[in-house]
Amino acid sequence: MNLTLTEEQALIQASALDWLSSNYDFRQREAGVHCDGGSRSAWQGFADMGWLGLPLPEDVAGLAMGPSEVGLLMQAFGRHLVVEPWWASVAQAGRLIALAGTADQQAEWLPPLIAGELHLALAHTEPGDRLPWAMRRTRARQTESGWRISGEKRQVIAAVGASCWIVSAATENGTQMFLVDPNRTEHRVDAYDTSAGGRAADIIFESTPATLLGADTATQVGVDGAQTLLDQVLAEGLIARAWEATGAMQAALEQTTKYTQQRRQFGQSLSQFQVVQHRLAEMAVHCVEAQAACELASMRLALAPCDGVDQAAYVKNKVARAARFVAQEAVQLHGAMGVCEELPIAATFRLLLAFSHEGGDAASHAFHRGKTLTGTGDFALSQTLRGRTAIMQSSTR
Amino acid sequence: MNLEIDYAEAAFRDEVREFLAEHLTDELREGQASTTGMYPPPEVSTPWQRALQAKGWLVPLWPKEWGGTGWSALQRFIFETECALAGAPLVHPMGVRLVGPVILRFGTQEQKLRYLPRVLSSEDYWCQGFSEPNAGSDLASLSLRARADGSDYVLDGTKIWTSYAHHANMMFALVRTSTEGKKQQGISFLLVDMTLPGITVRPIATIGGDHEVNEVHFEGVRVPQSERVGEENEGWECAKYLLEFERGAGIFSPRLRSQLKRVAKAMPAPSAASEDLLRRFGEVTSDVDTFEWLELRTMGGLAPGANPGPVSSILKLRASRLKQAIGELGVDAIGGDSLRWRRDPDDGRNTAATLVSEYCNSRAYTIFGGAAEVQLGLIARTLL
Repeated sequence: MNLTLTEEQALIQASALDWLSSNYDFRQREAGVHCDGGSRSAWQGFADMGWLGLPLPEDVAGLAMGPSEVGLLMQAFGRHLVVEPWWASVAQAGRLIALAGTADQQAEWLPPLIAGELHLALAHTEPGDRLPWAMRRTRARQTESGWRISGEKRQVIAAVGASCWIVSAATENGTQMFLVDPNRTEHRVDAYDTSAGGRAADIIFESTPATLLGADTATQVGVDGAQTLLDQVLAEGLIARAWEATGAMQAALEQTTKYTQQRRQFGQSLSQFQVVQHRLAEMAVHCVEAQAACELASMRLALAPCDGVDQAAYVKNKVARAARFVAQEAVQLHGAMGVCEELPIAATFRLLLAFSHEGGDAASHAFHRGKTLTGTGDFALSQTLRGRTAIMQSSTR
Repeated sequence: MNLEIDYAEAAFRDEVREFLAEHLTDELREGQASTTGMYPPPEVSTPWQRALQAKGWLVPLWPKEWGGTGWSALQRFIFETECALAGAPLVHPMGVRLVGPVILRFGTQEQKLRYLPRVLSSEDYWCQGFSEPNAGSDLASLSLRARADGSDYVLDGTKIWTSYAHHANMMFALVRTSTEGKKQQGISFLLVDMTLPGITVRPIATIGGDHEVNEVHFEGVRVPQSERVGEENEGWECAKYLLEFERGAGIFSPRLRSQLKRVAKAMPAPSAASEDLLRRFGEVTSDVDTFEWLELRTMGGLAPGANPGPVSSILKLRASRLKQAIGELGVDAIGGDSLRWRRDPDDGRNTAATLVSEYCNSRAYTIFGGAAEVQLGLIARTLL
């Protein structure tokens, strides 16, 4: 057991914060806000830093890092409210290609992704989803000319400008994932700016041609295998998003603390009022807890990738509750400055709003977890002393 | 950072489990399960402490030459977790974790030889005489007077909220030996035999129906000055050390999880439970999981007796609020059955009544040991 960051983790954290501090302040961020794909030069910077291959396999020149390392990078992104589609391209679509794709598919998409030449997107969420785990209503069927996809996808982050979409769909044999060329004309795209400062789209597929992700037989990952890998990558994504939210919350706490020290009313700085001090302290407690939840979920996921759904349910309900509190308090304690665009607080508030609903809200995940755990009895076990074997046994039960 | 259990850690855990399988009787487990106050009564904690002492595990944090185990912080976390999750009685902390370390640090050789073996054998049952009617969160304003008279002190005044004083034969007390200078400066740390003439213990009835706390009156009580620990008027140093030691000693996450297990037994089946109740169960479990890692990460790096620093305020605040959240979930799980009140505190096998008392008592957790508002002030100080 190791309770502190490894040297490598500390290096990733420090270099990410260092690069973003120099190249991505709140004004520089403007270049990518509400632009498809974000800022080109920032994206190239991410490639130069090696971030576009961070969780991708070494044989395509990735760094093969795990959930904690991804988390530290996402936390730094959160601090700087990064709008470029790293999460959608690398942590979601890229990871799925790496885990489920054939060698040819990996060779086609991952090296140019890592080099910063393109970005990717994942179309998974559907109308009415409370949680991302249910069988998809989007259907894929095999025709003489290959697979065709029909159905509705929502909130596809960074869809426009992506070179390839990964689309989840139900087949006769269960869930599969497909590669879709965004330039086809058989789908309709309703693209929009996001509250988090990025771009997204709702997409309606109408018999759109698609290629199966993975070998065109059930042999490689199997039918259950595709669902398992999809769940794992969705869980990784939710945990990564929680890290990003935590970074944003921590930055908001620091900014709010500073603001209350500088702003004077009634002859003293706001931070001298006990009521303000207590609200800052409550924010700090939520930030500390959010950080701990991200760490625990990442470590547990690294031990047992198949336990991802529970870890995602855990981290999302914990961090989203904290995020709501910190976001609202940060605005309140900034007074009128909290509701104007001059400072990053308003943008942080919106990032945390976007976080709260993406991939299922806190209440839905908490309900899922409560229902599952009262059934399995796993709530009775220590979550830090279980080790690898115990987690594997309990999640395959 | 990783949670891999290595061979030595797993072997230690197995040793603890073996010990528990052998010595933790159903009777002891039930004694703890029906405890709605902070600590089980002496008839439950004392036999358990003797079993631990026979194994050499009663005082992990003491130096080895006085009976300590020499465990790493992680080993102690494993030990505490296994014990609490197995339902073992809580050790009464007053001798083992509070006065013991103070005597070890500030006591004379005579005091060590006299009192430490009696802590180890559970022969003495200690209580803590700190709070007074006018000294709660502001402890240093205490006024129980100890007037020097020959080789004795003569004590007059009142201690209040004294937990388990009605069981105790010994008290460690903060007393006022001087009114000169700053209020922290005239305090001395005294070991008081509770059987001395002039001491009266009166029970205080509390919200959950338990008899835990008392008022202790001192009227002309003569205590030999040789029972003073540390120098005269320097007792505040002992008190600070004691509080800091306690902050680095308490491991609460497995106790919270153990409480959660009791509440879960009262929950309706998942198919019959309301969505709201299941959601809250999911939230509270997630809060406990988070707290467990936060506590392990904080405590796991500490040497015995070391203080985790300002983060201990966050731990205290969260542990106390979680205790309350689980208690609240407990009464909401039983719903209308929370009408049922115990006829007497020994009616502990009645689940509904136990959960009601536990919920009521949980409200004290954000009040004692530094109220939530005090902790928030301390946390804010680290930010500003």
